Amino acid sequence: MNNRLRVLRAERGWSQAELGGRLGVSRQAVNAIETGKYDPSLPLAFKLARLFELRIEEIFDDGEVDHGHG
Amino acid sequence: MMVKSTMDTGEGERLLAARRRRFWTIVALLVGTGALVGFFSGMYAGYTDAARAEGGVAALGPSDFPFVLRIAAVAAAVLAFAALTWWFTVSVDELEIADNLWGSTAGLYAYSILFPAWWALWKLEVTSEPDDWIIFATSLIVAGIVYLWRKWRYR
Repeated sequence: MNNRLRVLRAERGWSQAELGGRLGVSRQAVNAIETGKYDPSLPLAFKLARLFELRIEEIFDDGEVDHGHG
Repeated sequence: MMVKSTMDTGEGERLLAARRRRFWTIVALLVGTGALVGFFSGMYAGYTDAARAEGGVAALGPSDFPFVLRIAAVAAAVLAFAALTWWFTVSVDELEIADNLWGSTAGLYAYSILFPAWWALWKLEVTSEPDDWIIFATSLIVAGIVYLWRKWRYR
């Protein structure tokens, strides 16, 4: 699943460890999510969305929905 | 589910460092307990086996220890491992749990395939009787390989 986590994290100047600490997960977990090797659980996805003050679908994209308008 | 979005930069890294310390403390306790149990049980088993190999009986055989003490020793080890593995499970994140589940599943499948296959070969008079220790060790090795493969993949 594609996501904008790396960009969002970089915008705030956070390391993977910083984000991991804020989420209560390891740095490896953050890396695995960023590289698309691991899809987070729904509770963790909500946690991420709250942390970045975005909706889940503004962070993650499963490639199934056409976001175009018209 | 609370997320501290107002915390200062660097606070997350400090929280993660504490989390990492807790993780390695539990791992060290598990390894230490395993080493302790393995050392004493291995030493005693080696001692009784050596006495038997010489055609004799160990001077300090199992029946020389009180029945309750024998049960208590095993129960203490079981309880220690149960408590430590429970602490580990509630302390790690969901990726670590997923790694453990994949490893455990692979280990269980290895056991479920290996034992019946070996048993069938034994019944067909192709091999010797299945060896519990070899099957147990193989299952653990398969579980460990799958677990470590997943860990390496996320580095």
